[in-house]
Amino acid sequence: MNTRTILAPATHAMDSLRHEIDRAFDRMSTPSLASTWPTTRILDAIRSNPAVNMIESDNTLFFEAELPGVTATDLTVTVAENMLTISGCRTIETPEEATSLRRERSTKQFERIMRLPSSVDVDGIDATLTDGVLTVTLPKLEGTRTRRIVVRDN
Amino acid sequence: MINQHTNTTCCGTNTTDCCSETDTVKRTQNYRAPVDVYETETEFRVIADMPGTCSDCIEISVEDNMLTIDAEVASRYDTLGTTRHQEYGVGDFHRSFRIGDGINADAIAATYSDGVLSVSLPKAEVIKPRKIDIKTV
Repeated sequence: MNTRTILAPATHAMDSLRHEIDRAFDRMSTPSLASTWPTTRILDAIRSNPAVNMIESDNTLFFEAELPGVTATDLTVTVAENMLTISGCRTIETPEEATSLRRERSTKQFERIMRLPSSVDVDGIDATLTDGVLTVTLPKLEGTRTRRIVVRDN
Repeated sequence: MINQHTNTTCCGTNTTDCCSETDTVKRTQNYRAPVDVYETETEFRVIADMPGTCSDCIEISVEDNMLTIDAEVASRYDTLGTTRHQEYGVGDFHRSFRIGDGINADAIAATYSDGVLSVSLPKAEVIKPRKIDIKTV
């Protein structure tokens, strides 16, 4: 559990690498609709780890993840022992009787566990999903809020 | 001016014709949306992950056998606070593809929901598979 902290896991790094390679190839020539890459989704069997951004204000922590194609019913957000877990699955829409020409979108199952940097008010946690963007709002506990200390000029 | 700069960085030279049209980005922050492409008997379907945009912010165009998808993504963090940890960037999406003559450009339709764009590109009559009836004499 402790090893799966805020650092991006290996599968995520692989996704980024493939993304960068694809991007480099695209710069050289305009791609056609069909991909020259193998069309097997090799990561289908295992869970992917969505990328997360964290924004902090004086009183609140915001965790954000891009989860396109995920609906609120397919998503689970839990907070326990200062660990935030985002997990779920998404439906990959496939037209009927279709041949796949290009497959770049990531896997169906996902899970991400992050350690919270400060204690939060568990009862005040809120999560919203808008246009494929999940935002988890976690109010900081009174004792961990940022306080500005006025420096006296003697 | 920005276009010229992009051409210089991706080719390492000042020539403007070495880069494909896909690289004439309008802004500096421009992300490549991952897409799945399917072909059926009657259409091609392009499904793109474009979280954080809206149906009015997406522009799909077909010109000179090029399908171009541009999506504007509004900045989300300016008012929230300080970014402490960042694993992905937030910015506009852009993709373009060569599509031959076989698309009926007037009938292209698209939907956007849950951050996923689905573009239907109906095939033109000329490339649809045709079953030839053999007459018995």
